Amino acid sequence: MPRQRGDVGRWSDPGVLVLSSLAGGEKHGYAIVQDVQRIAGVHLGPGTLYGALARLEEQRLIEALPALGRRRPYRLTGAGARVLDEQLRTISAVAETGLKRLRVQGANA
Amino acid sequence: MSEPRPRALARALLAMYPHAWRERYGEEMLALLADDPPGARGLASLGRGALAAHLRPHAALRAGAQARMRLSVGALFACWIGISLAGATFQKVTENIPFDTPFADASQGHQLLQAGRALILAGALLGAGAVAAGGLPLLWLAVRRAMQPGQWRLRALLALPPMSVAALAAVAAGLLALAPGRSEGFPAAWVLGASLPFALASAACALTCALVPRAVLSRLDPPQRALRRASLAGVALAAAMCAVAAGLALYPLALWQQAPALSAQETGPFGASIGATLAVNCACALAITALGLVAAGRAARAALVRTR
Repeated sequence: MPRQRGDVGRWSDPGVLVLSSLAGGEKHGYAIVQDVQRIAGVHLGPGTLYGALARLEEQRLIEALPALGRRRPYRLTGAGARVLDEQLRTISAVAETGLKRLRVQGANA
Repeated sequence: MSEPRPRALARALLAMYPHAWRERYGEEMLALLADDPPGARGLASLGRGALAAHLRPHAALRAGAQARMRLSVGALFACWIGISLAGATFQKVTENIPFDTPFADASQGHQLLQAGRALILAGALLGAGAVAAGGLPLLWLAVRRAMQPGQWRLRALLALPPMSVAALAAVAAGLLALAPGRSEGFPAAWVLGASLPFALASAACALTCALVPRAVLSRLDPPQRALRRASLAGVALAAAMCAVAAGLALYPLALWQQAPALSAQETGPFGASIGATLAVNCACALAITALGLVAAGRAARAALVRTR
């Protein structure tokens, strides 16, 4: 089933990782790989990265800029920024609730 | 200074992506592979990515309906050549040699064996009809185009299949001319020695006949009407493949159940039993049929989209 616009997957989905990386500014493929490795400790394989880039481009969440030699930078679109904001808020709410519950459990133990 | 080139295996995996994908992302991916040479995981990621790109093509990278019909019709014809090869192998393995008719004897009174053979024959007839209905108009267009001045490449392409069939016939005739006396059947050692050149010549002929139509179609860029007719004939061709594959699956099962001694006879290629040979042949036919069904579905969808 084709994904709906805005459905970029779970927090660890390459789509979310790529959007998070591009939130820091336009980047080409290798720069995205390095950035994702630094911020999430995940090494995106070439097939995974370009699968995500193609999907995000199709959903108009990112856009390709003119190529610089063989490397083509990408940047977040307005829609991409909104979708990422929504996703990160959900992740943040889940993380906050989970941590709160763990603290309560730790206090009761 | 020139940029480093990615490893051959990575480039080979990249070549497995669909053409439209490579047109759009190929250069960037090559740059990434040069910057970040992939290990085993990276190579696996490329393989998975290529498979996903074929199974779920992105809308912007999909070929137009006309190109989809052309590619699918070419793929369907290649599948039909594969099925024909499986049918010829079945015929060769189960043929009755003079003065000895074990397969005809086994079929006497065994309805499943007769049904298996009848299915293969019905599929072959239906397939021949579908190829004639969909393929002959395209062939006529190709021949007319090849007659125009400057079309020597198209002429050469059209000449390749008959030439490969003639070469196969020449190899077969040469092997027969070199064969020892046939009065008591060919000696087993000679059959084994002759099998390899004959198998190689058959494979080369089949490959040529399977791939040339696709190359001709891409040069010809046929009109939509002819492609639509060929795409719809492809549905009948896929049904024919299913019938042949069903017959090829039914026959060895029935033979194993109803004539186990004949099934176990080790007269197949390289000393394999007849049952095992027919089972491998059937597995190949089923795989080709599955590919043919996918191609027929794509061709029909593209044809119907244009019809609406």
